[in-house]
Amino acid sequence: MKARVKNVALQALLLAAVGGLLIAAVANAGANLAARGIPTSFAFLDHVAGFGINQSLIPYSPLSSYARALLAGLLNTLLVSALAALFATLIGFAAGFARLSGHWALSKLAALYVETVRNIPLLLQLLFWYVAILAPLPGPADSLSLPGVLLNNRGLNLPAPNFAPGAAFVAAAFLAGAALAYWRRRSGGRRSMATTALLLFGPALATFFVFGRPIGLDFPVYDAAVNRFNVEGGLRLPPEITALVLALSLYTGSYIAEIVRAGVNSVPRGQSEAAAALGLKPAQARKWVILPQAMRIVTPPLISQYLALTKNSSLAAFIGFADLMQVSGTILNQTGAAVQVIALDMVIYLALSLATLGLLRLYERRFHWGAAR
Amino acid sequence: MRKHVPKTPRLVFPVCLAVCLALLASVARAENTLDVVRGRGVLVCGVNTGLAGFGLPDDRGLWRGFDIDYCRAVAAAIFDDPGKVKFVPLSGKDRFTALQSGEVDLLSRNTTWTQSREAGQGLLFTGINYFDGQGFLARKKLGLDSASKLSGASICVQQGTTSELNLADYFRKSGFRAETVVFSTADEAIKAYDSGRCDAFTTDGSALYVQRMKTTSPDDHEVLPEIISKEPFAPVVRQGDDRWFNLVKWTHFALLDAEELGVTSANVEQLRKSDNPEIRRLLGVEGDFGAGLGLPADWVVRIVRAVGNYGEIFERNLGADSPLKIPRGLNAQWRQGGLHYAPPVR
Repeated sequence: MKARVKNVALQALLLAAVGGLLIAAVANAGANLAARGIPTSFAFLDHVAGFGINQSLIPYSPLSSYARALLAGLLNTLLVSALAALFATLIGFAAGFARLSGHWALSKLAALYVETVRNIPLLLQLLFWYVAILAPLPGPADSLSLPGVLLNNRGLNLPAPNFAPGAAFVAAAFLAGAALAYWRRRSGGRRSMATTALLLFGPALATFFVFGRPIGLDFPVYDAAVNRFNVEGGLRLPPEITALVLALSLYTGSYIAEIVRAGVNSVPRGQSEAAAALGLKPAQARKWVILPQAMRIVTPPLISQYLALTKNSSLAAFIGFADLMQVSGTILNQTGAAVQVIALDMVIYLALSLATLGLLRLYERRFHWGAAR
Repeated sequence: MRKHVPKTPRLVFPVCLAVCLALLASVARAENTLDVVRGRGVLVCGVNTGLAGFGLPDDRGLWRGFDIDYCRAVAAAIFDDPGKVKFVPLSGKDRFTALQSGEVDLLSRNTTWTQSREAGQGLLFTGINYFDGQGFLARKKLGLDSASKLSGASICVQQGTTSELNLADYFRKSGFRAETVVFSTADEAIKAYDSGRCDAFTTDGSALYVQRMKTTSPDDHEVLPEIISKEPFAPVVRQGDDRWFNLVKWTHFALLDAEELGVTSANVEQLRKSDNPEIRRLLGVEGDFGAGLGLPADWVVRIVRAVGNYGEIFERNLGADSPLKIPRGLNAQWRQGGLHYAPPVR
């Protein structure tokens, strides 16, 4: 009992010391910054940024505020991380199972991929893909083209939907139709596909024509008379984002492949033998017997990979992609508010990591993986 | 304290750390850069990561360039030895943080003097040592005769520079739209331009000529005639140490005064016997003008002996004696139609 009191007291003391140190450090930094005439507040976030961002998911111009620039950077980071996480998972699971398969060539190919890619620094791969994508592609004037799609060294140009006034009514009509169809199926009406389709698309189509076709496609066009330098119109996927997603997915995928292999190997062989004895085909055994047990082991290291991927996306600045780190680097340089900007970045990355963690924990709990023990 | 917790060495560490940090913090407050530099025996100078003519290590690893010579001039004034400099290469983005945090004593890195950098970031620019302006590099085969025809183009630029801001301003003013692709270093920006990612590359006029040499075939590229901004370069110090600010500022003025009075590295020793009162004061033969800066009377002799006067530094690194062959232009002395006009040493 006495030992326990002492233990608690000591821990409290330690916490107080660390907390005191932290407060002292913040106060000291604030005083030193103020003494040197360096800004100490976050007021700069409202000021005009003045620099351009070439790829933004939200409307952004050099007249926007620093806060908006940060938000544009954050959204770019999120976009790249989400895309790369998706592709890395697909690549990783495919390569992991390929490596385990009895097919000799497939297994060796997967091993070659894993061992090559995960042993080369990510930055090097990133620069490689950027050059590899840029070098062979022609300029905008000589774009490679498919109907509606143009590919050149400024990016992949796709048709983009454009919305005229009235588009909102079409969307509303579609939602109403969908709700109607759903309600009809729920209330146990006759399940005819034709009726469902009519309910689903009928109102939307009617509104579409009544409002004079407010939703259309905006095709990318190269016309030297309009803009001799670049393709105009449509939606552009710049080479920076492509290189970044490619490098991150391949790199993280190689780690995920190994995690999957380890997870599957950790399921006792008796399980697949038992599945075979029950008459399950190998694919069925994988899906119903092996994978659910393997996932329990795979999920925690998988989470670490997603977290690492998000953080690795900050290498974007090297190939000119405006992610959170790149944008905040510029802001830091312009405002001199180094401590504030870095602190903001740290908080944002921490929040991103915690959110990822939370999502995957939810997923784990939902499927009772890890909870069974 | 020790009496109450004799068996807890775990606690000693954080407490020690707290005390040490507190001590460290109080030391950092009382700043006297000159004493710190003297005590250390070497000047720490923040320079470009690699820009020919301004700051670049040669094939033997020796730093050379216009900005490098300014660091050497300050070291010569303090130690009478231009070799006592440690060069810290800094990217455009990191340079101010390095200076603010005390990692470098002096930033001599083709840095543009702006109001917000000085008033808003706790810095002081010591005096313009190079008058520059921003321009564009584009492919000759585009046949552009003016930057005003770049509407709709993609333009590569380095991050954390005034170039990035000027570019946005220029297009805003002219009502153009252009895609800016921002890279963390000038090297990556010029590489991307060279590979066709951009139609033009933009930076300070002096650096355009240097960067053009890095493209696969420099003759295919041309510098467009427009100068879209004022880029006055100056060495930078932290605020709060007036003595150090004066020392760096007057090292710059001394280099200019030496050129104006015809004092060169070749004749500085014999000019000490000169009858010209201005030269006698500059070289410390009459009066002691170094004392106010914390330097000996012959401080200018030390500087000029080590690196020459402003004109010598310019010609050696950027002008006729260099591969860049940049004309003096605005960087000539005021008597020659340039803008350099240094206050007198008296």
